[in-house]
Amino acid sequence: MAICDATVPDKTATGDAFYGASICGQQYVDYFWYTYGFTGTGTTWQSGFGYEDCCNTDLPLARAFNGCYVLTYSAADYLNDDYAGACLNWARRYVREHIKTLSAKCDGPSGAVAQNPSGSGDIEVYSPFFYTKNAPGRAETLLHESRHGALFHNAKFPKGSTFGEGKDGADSNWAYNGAWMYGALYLWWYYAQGARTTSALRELARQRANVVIDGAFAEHPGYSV
Amino acid sequence: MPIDDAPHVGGNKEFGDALNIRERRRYPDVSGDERLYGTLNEALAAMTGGGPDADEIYSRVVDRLRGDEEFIILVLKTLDAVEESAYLERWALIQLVIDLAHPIAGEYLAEFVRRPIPEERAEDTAHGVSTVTEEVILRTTAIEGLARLLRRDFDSTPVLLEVVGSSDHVAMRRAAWFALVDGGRADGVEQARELLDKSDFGWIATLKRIPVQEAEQQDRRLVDPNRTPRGDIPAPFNE
Repeated sequence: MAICDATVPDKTATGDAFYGASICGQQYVDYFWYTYGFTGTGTTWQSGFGYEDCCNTDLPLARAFNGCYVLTYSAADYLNDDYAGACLNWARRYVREHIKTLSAKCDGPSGAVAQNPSGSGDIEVYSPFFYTKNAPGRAETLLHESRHGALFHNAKFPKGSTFGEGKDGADSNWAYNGAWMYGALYLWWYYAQGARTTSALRELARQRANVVIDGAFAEHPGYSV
Repeated sequence: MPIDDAPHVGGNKEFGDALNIRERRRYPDVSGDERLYGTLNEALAAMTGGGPDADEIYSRVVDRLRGDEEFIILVLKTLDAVEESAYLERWALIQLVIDLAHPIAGEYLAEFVRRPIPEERAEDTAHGVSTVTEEVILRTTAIEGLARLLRRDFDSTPVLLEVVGSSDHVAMRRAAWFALVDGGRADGVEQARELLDKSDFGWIATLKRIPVQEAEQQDRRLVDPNRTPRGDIPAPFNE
């Protein structure tokens, strides 16, 4: 019984062609499942979301795993997840420590990619998470949503923002340490030091980090990547 | 491991589909030439690959194709044939053209940067997919390409000045500003500075490009670790 339609983008563009072929191993499935909040949410990943075919990168679960792979292994020294180090290192730890459950649904409110309702840690990811984000983008989204467990957006987008001047959804500034800051910092580190990836994907992280820095803070941080 | 409910590779067939894959999008083949189309897909797959050798593999592919004008034209034609909402595919094609670093792409990139940005389609731009943001990322990427070509004698100063002086988006003005700075055209930089000042965006010229290590990092007092055990982490693929 189909409950929602999806268009799968070209998998060479999203990185899913590579990850799907490479990481289909039970050791990764088990690690991601029990580390990033999937356990106990299995029913939301059934019914066509991929539970029954967890290496099929057309389907949401394998694509979520691909994001988890990037989140877990993009630091060269991935075993070090000390908060004193690079965001690339501690991002996966932050997600692990602040996500209670990770559920899949077709559609979220107002076309959302994902949400962390009331900052509960019960994160929901929706069709755009699987089908409009590439694998590093999914990793960044998990960090962004996890940060909403502590802080919500508290400001309006500034003049010249691509997100829409005057709309709600910005963070007041970099020092607020909100979800946009965490996301931008992750992308910045990914650009600077991302491992097991290509210069092109690191360049995309740079472009996205800059657009976030330029548009998602009511007060510009004064940086450019 | 409180519940043993992880899916199993090749198993769990008892559940029925409820999500319908309506379409599997592929890059359109505008060449009619199986070899060229295969090369295009090979290059794009290398671009988005992973693993310890990913960047080396991508570099080898780019080095092999650099200077192949027929191939670069194919990439540009493919870009025009991809549907508007296929942002990831469009970005990959633009980045490939940039990495091939051939001046014949200059006119296309300049024209692309000038294209009007379609109206926002997202209802919630903070948590949805802001289509304006996606379009701007395509253009800032193209501007980066123009910056690189500026250093290879393709003069993109006019379009960069247009963007600096009139774009609705800070991100585009900022990208064009730094492209001019990096291009080393002193007269262009001075004109850009005047345009930014006139339009109330003079502060863009004061932005600092610094290594990420020098940026303010997260405030560790605000992290609130809960010490969830990490568990045994498997080694990355192929390592």
